[in-house]
Amino acid sequence: MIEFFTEPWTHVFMQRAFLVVLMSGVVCGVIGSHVALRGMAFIGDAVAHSVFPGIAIAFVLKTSLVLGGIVAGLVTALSVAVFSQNRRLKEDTVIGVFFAAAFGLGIVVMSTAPGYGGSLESFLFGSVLGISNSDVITVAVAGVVLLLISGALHKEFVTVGLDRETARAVGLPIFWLDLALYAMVTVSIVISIQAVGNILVLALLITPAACARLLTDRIGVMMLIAPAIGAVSGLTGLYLSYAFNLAAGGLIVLTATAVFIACWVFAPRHGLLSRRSPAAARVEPVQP
Amino acid sequence: MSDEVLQVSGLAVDLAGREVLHDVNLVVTRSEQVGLIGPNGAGKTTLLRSLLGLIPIRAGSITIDGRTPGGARGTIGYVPQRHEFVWDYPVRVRTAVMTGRTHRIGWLRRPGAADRDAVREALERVDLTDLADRPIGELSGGQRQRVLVARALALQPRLLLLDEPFTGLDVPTQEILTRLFRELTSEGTAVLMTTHDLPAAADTSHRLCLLNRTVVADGSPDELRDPAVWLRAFGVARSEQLLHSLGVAR
Repeated sequence: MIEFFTEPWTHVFMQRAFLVVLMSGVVCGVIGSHVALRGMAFIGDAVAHSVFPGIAIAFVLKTSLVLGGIVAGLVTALSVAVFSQNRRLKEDTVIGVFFAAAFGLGIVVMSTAPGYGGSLESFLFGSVLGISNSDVITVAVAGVVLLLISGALHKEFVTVGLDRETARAVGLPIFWLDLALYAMVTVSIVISIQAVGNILVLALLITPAACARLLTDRIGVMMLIAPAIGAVSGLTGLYLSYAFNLAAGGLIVLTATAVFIACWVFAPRHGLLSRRSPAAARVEPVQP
Repeated sequence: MSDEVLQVSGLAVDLAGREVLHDVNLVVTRSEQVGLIGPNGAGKTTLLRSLLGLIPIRAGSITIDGRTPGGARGTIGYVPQRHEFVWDYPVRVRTAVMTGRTHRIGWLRRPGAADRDAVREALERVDLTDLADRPIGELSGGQRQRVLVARALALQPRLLLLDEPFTGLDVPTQEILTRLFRELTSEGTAVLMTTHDLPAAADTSHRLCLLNRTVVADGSPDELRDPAVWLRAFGVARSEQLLHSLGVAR
């Protein structure tokens, strides 16, 4: 029985997978909390798609995939910011235009590389068992930097998240803070693509944060719970993938989704069951 | 230090190429509470936003404590309408009030003793000390309005701007706020609020300023007893109900 749990970790490729999944889960949990609270899920999706051409170009040019992804993500974020200035178009419409375009560009670029089918698949669906040592180091460094920046700008992000207009009125540089957050979302996504793939990475960003929101009313606690759920989902998915020889990325996301459904039903104050119980009446807002 | 905390002269503001305000002249002095009254679309919120330096002005000047709106940033207490605030954000009342001081605390710094004292005092003034650890999502409308006022007071401002602070509030909460504004003005704070609640404004303000693209009338509630002034501000030929509610009509 013990061997069932320890045996996978005797393989070096599983140790690397373990580390990357753990770090992706933690980083996405923290950054994803901001994404979920700001209602930025669609932007997260757009960034996830738009890093693809950057990764494809970096892959063809044989340079850093992380750098390529970040550049492409930021170019898309800036394009959305600029093109949404036209008041006839809503921001989500502009995002819809650009992220599909970015993805199209990525596929065209990938198709110029010889034998692109296999590489394409590993970008789209993840290749957690084929991670190199240098990938692990890149993810670790990027992850630590992200967590440090997130901590350093925490009170500013909360202030803007609560009330953009007043935050601007007291002098906070809203545009730069937004750009910083987009950049952080972009990097989180790029470092997590190897674990779950480009298409499923949004789930790693949003689902653990959504679970945590159901469990707490404090953003500080949320930023502890979300990474924990992300990491545990990642490890569980990885185990199941090893044990049953199924796709790791999909299992990681499905595990997180199972946790979400459990939270939705059983969460102590905001879950389905407690909302139905008479005791819940106590937490309803009291009219003045 | 001058007694004039806010000075607006010849102000013109365009939004999307359309003139919203023109030739607005307004002064608010220390210890004065001014009610800014006008119909929907009169430019009340636009005026507040230009005082905060949030929108460019086409002509005229705004001086706040001898500075431009840009220079006075972070020293003005601003209370937006309640729907501008994300109430389901997972923070406690104390944290929400502390966000008023985020910029003053500065980058990479944590709140210090002075910040915590300012927040404690602001919470006391709006009578929310007991609810300081309550999630903001569980507050009633009146409590929410007091959180926004406390957040503005946490800056210890000399000028307090409020956008429709009384809208949708019950009488007890209105009374708490009215008393608070009276205290603040007696301590020297200048208060400028927009409102639809004409009787309350006439009751509590030292001066009323009727705005409809420009200042139509400006005077003490007693000086504005002439129905014609009100009818011009609101652009209606006959509004006996309005005038009755103000005690203007016989």
